[in-house]
Amino acid sequence: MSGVLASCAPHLARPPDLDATRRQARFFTLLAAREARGVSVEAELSLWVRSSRARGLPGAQARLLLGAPDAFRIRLESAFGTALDLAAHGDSLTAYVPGRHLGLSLGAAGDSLGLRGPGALGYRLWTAAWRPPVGAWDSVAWRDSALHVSWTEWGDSLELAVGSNGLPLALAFTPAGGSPLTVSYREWSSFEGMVLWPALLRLEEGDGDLTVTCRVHRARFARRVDPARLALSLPAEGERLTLARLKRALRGMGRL
Amino acid sequence: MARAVLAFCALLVTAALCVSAGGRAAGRGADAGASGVRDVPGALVRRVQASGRAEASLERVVSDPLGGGRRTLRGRIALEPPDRADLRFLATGERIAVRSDGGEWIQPELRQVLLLGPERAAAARRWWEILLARQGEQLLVRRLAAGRFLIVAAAGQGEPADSAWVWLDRAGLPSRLEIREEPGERTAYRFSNWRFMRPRGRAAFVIAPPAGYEVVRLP
Repeated sequence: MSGVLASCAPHLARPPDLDATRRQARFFTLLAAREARGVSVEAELSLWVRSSRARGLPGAQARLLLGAPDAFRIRLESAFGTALDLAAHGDSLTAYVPGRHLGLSLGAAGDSLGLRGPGALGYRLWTAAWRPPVGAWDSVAWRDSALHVSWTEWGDSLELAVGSNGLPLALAFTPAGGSPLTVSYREWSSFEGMVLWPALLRLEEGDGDLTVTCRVHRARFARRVDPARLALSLPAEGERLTLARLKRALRGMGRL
Repeated sequence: MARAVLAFCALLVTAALCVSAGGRAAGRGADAGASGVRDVPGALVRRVQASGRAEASLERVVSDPLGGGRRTLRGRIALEPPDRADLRFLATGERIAVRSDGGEWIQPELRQVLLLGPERAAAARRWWEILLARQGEQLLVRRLAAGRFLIVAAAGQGEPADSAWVWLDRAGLPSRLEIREEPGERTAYRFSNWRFMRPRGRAAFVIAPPAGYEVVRLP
């Protein structure tokens, strides 16, 4: 009888836990689990780029390889071929467009692109392995029910929003002297029954006009990183994109 | 600069996709060097011209630098002269149908259909047209051995030269086509079970976008 009465009683929404210490503990437990499983990850993705200034862009399928702590390789490919192969390790970045036999190799991408350590950024982006330093938790802020933690790395500003379940909701990354990029973690999934992993990410440039949505369909985890699979070697033949040409392309992309 | 980086990534993705979907300009005009193309798939041309349509089982074997080793995708190919090709892969549901007036590429995982204009469709058809002995590009054909040919498409404006290797079986039908898509690697298409039948016409080479799919016209 008490069970029946209980089921008829009005259901009260449980208020979010606003205890920063408990949320921090949940966050670090889940982060440790992602880091433990994320030593080497292979994933299949779908990507969509959207901009009001460039409508009608197609979506793309991709395969992604992550290697802790600072390497990734992504290949845009379909049953009909590979469109783009891009690898980053530490501060170096290499890209190859097979259809054009066109390659790009930047030994110090931080100097040329103004984005320090693209390898680590990419790894952390897809694993949500953002780790605020201990001191950052002394001055957290609450917005709605999200706990916001801010810190700086090499002059870049980062602000992480942590949800009541201890998972990252969003990370705002503002390079020194640059405009912010925000990645929102919209969905999480337990791939291979292992650990909660980002399943739907959305990258957004400052004013939100340019967005990249990334759906992770499948993820497989391995215990060891295979450097050979992460490395992209440009062929001796073919054309190399120079930094000057890249900068011209970047200037031209202001119209995007 | 972060905006520029994101924009760079977005443009790289978009540009690369367009190349993947047949970014090379087609029909470089002159037929110079095209002599000998008819020798390559002679039996196929004779039989498909007599029947109107050819179908074969297809395996796409490609190196897999991310996973290690090679990957095989199985599918079907259908050809109808003078300009129609249809490839579909069973595992992914991807299908591309191309004609001289354009084509479509359906990608179920993305719930997307790409519309290809005549130029992109021609670029996507280029190697399949070799099987039909079409002569629109500057092609150099070299016989390497009995039933084995090397075909080189000359470089165009801003485009690298490309090579394809073709093997014929004992019946003179194409059994293998290799294209260099990756650095130092070739993608192989293996053909088997060639069948010949009456043509189905243009309508069989047009993909109607399913409901709920996004239709994207490639620039």
